[in-house]
Amino acid sequence: MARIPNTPDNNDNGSFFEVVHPLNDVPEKKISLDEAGPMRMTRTVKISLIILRVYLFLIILLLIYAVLNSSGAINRVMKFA
Amino acid sequence: MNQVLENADIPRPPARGIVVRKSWLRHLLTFLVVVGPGLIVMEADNDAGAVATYTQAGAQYGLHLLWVMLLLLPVCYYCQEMVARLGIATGEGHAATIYKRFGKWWGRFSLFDLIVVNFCTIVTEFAGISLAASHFGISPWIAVPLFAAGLVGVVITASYRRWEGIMVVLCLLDSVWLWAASHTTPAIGPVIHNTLVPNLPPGGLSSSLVFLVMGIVGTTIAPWQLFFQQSCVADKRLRFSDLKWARLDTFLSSIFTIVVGGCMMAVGVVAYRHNIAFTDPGQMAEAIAPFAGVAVRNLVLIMLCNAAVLGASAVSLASAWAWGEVVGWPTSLQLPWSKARGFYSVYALGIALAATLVLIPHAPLQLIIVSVQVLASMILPVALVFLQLLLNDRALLGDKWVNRPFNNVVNWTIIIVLFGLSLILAAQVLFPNLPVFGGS
Repeated sequence: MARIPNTPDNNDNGSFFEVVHPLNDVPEKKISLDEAGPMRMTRTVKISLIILRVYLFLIILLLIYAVLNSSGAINRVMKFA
Repeated sequence: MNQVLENADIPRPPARGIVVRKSWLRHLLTFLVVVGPGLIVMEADNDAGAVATYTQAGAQYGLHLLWVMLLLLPVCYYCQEMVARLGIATGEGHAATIYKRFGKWWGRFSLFDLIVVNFCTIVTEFAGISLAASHFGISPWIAVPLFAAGLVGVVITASYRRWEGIMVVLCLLDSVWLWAASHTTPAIGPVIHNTLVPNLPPGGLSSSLVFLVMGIVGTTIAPWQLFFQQSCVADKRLRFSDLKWARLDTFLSSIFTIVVGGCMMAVGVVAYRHNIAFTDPGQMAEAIAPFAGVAVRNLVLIMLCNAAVLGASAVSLASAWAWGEVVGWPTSLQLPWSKARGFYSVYALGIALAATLVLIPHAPLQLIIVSVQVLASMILPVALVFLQLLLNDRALLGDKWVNRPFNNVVNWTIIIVLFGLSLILAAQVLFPNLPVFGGS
């Protein structure tokens, strides 16, 4: 939080600048997520998010299959069966 | 915050910062105090898995995939710039933002995904440490616990600045890859050509190529990075006025990480030229030693350790920050152990479990490494969709902080391309006999 307003970046009038590390500075008031609450979503966004859930589920299953296949685990199980 | 004290006779504020008289020096110092989150997130992404993936790409396909790295440069920058902006605007981490804006289900689901992928990633980091140590003749049973203790020790000192300082030094050490690449690459012409001209290697678009490209994408930009940088920016308490410097930090670090990644690929090309097969970067370092020299061998092994340390620390912290944000624990590297036990415990537990797991003999480490990165690249477009929705959330951010139309075009393009790659991989896995195209 600036205690003294910024002025143009020149030093002709004898001004000087103080550079403060963020951790040493006065905390700023940020945008509050708590005050904002949950996001309002249109029906399209809600449907898109449901599709994303399905995508994630299927793609993770597929990856597990690909990894087991690459490691030869599926072939071993098939031979055993 | 840069403050201008208009006259020399104005009483000075308590000594909190550095007072300078030159404007350029003020800008330089401000950049230097802000730099950190961007550099760490980018270079930590060049972790042990990245060393494995990039060198494997070089060994399998020569310099043919360098253009992919160039394409990933804007992906890196635009994705990370968004989280830096969101972190500065809200002062909260990414997990907290998703939890509070999208509700508990998505908040917990994102956290679960993140924790699983992150844990697997930390395992790969310790796999890297284990491999490098064993090639130096040090038992993994000594090296792995020592590194794990060191990683926990650095974080629980309750000083963000100490942790950041150590990480920045380790990040800059990655410059050594430039020397290794210049030492192993006989001519610059093919490097420039393959970087600027997209081309497919002999054999065309096979499932192994798509799998590797997905791995490269997954290692260059991963979901944990989104969570890490936003939480890191929030923990460092970057201010609104720091945004331009945070952007510069992110931009320069994106270039650095892509160049370093390209150098790793170039080192792997030694194996391609001499038709050397290997299953992990440790083996590769040994195998290329007769052609590239012992110095390169040692450097690859040392930098593998360095990459693993950077990755393990950053990825574990991303998990700890995210977990703490969702369950409502205090999460800051500035807090002592007594005030953030949960936060530090999640960090330490992740490290300890991964270190233990990696000591299990005969684990297929290279397969785990590439698979984790492919998984990360499949989750990434979903994470980016959330990021896009958040950065277009005018009700929350207002006009000042939301994405510009240009950002949205770039980001949706990235998301569509990533989904496309996922679908190509899915098709290749389900139908391995699909005809390849683009082969020569």
